[in-house]
Amino acid sequence: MNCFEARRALLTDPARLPSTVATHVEQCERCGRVASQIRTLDLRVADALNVDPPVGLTERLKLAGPRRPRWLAPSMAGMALAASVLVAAIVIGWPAPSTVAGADWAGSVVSHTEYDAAHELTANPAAPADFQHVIERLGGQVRAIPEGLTRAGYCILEGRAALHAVIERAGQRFVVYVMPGVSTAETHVDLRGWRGEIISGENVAIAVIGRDATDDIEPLMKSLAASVQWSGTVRAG
Amino acid sequence: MSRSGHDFAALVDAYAQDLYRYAHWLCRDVHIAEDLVQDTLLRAWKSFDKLQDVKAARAWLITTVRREHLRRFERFQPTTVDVDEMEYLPAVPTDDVAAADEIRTRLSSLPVADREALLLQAGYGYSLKEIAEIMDTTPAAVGNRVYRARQRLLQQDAESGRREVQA
Ligand SMILES: [Zn+2]
Repeated sequence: MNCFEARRALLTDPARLPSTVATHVEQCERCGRVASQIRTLDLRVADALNVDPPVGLTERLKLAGPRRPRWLAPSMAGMALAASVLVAAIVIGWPAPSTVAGADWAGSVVSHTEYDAAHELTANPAAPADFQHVIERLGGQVRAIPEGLTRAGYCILEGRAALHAVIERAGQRFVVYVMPGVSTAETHVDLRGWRGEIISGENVAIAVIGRDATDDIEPLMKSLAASVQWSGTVRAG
Repeated sequence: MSRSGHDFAALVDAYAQDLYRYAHWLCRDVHIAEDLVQDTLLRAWKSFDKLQDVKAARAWLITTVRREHLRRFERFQPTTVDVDEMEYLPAVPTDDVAAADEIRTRLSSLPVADREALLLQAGYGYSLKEIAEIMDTTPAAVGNRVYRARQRLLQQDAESGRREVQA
């Protein structure tokens, strides 16, 4: 490593220096000076982006956005359900519960799991934040992050947005879906090596499936149901 | 129909401010910037199923703002690129502090692509590879752009330092 190479690296990607460059920069006074100049410059560049968004930006964007369904009227506010209800029930902003039969949900849950194999990826440290973000975007509130959560993201099942998460407990890995706006009969899943259950409350369904023998997923189901709360307005028709 | 205005509001809350800053920087006009953000979020809302990965969503949105800006820009401008950028970019608002104005003026003297690569790296923290995807080019080309951009800005710093010493 010489000064020329170090300068090249500093000017190209100062926040991600290879260790050989970082060592040189620590030891070479002149390159150290250049590094601090570049850091200052980058801060000023970042500052240049910092314009204040105009007042009322988000409100205007929301008003000009897609039309809200008329049953989202605020007049029904305040009819929240008791938090203790298993799979607490009311969801904002979702159409009438789907009438797709339970067996179809089992099929689409397994197909989606095979297609979007998040369970094969390593744990993502941002999983709790992602879980929170997705649940809130789906209109729910997070009461607790489920123990063992390793990944969380969006997915679309049968044309509906849902949470797709991976949870590891006692050495077993489970794929979990929380599907607001879905109501289905209790369904046992046993398809292409995937086993699990789909249960639903009044207006949300939860699916838990696993690769291995999933003897007892009830505790997981219960803690999932308790970790998320759906509150807000009742559909007005 | 499986989506609602509720999703759109959540998209606005999560991304509008960040996207606005980027859009404003691209077009230097408060109204056009707001328009760009509106278009981009509506597009995101329509392709909701493509946004499965929460972390990828921001890069997708940034890329979309950029494409939409280029599309509009191409509609109004001849395709020759060698025009001095200062001619078609409205001036930066003057109510900002002098230091920020100075760096903005200097940034605007850089070639468009060099400046944009630098902003995405220094301002948004994207890697060379991510910027390459956003700008539809190679990581090596992005590396050259940010290298050139920093070199030029540092050179200007050095020159203005000398002028101040002489004065
Ligand atoms: Zn050196």
